[in-house]
Amino acid sequence: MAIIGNTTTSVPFIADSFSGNASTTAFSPLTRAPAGTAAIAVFIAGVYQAPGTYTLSGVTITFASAPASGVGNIIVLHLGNGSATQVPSDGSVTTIKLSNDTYGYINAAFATANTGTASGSYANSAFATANTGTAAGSYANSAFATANTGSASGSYANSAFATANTGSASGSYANSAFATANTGSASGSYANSAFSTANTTSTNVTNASTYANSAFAKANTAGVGTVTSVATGNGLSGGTITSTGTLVVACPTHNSVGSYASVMFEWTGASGNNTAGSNYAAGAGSKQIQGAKWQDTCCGFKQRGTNNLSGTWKIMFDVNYAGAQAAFGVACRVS
Amino acid sequence: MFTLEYANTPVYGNAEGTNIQLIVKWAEFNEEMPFGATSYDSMPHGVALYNRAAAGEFGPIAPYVAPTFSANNQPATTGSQDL
Repeated sequence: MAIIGNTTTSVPFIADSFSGNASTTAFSPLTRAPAGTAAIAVFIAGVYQAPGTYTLSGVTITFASAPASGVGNIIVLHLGNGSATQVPSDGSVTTIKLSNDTYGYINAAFATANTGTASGSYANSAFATANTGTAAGSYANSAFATANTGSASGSYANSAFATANTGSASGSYANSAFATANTGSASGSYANSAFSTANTTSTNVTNASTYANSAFAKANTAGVGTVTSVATGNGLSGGTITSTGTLVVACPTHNSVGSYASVMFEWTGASGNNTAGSNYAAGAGSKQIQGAKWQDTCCGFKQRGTNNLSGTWKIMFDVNYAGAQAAFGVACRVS
Repeated sequence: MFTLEYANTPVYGNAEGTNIQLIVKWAEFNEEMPFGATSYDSMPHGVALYNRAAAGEFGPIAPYVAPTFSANNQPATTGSQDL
């Protein structure tokens, strides 16, 4: 007969046979313990025995009266192959076979398991065990990686971390885990590696918008720094100092900025064209500063050389003579 | 030594023409100031300013104007000795 599907196979019923001796009423063992008298058919010398003529106890059948003598004249025919526990093959059950209710039950179980002490609870222990071998390849880590595949901020795993940190950041479980991750070797730990990677592109101010660099920038707000070199300009000697040393006030170069000179300048009596504390240009013209020189008819000084001052000079003090048009004084070069 | 922002109104500051008077504004000072630029200045910024002014960068250089005072009106002391 043609059939659709797999070819049918027949499985023979199990039959136990015993030999009567006209005195024995109990026979055993049966191949399996029948569920009841309806599960077997008993024949003696080919004659069917009604269920009321015998009783069953486990793998023993007991007749009300001893069967007659005969070799293999007692037949117990099992009317089925019975049932056996079906065990799925290892790794053959997938999550899609589980209902949403089952997920809820499992989550509730995990929540309950973690109620007492997180580190000692069963669920956490299970995760710890799952991650014992190789972190990246372990089941728990793979599950987290998968959970974050879609959108990091909205994924379940990240939400869980966010929730865990809602109360007190420093005391929350997630932060504790990061702290633990950094305990051993800072540079080699996972969390620090992540920060290091985040700063790889550039550490300048352009990337200050990144969180790590902003944090570093804020840490440096106080402006702590180190002076590495102090040079000496005109009027100072002792430099350049790169560690320790002493700066000494030196006589400035003639006609240099910061130097002093005895000067003569125009003075027009009451009009006061030149004023101590004011700046004037070096030169030989009106209202200009000249180097100290004078004609031998004046003040016991004798003119020597030519005016050799340059730049801008500030009159420090002057000595005037009533009715005269010029005065002596001391000036300092400004620029 | 100083950074020049601008300079103007150049006038010769002596008869020899080795001194040019300008009004200058250095970046290091808040205010303008008169400056006597010379070719013999010991400060490099003074010599540089003289050369630029002499080249006409700050406009035509006005002629030298000698001071108005005379020797007869200069201060004098009695009994002074030549040094």
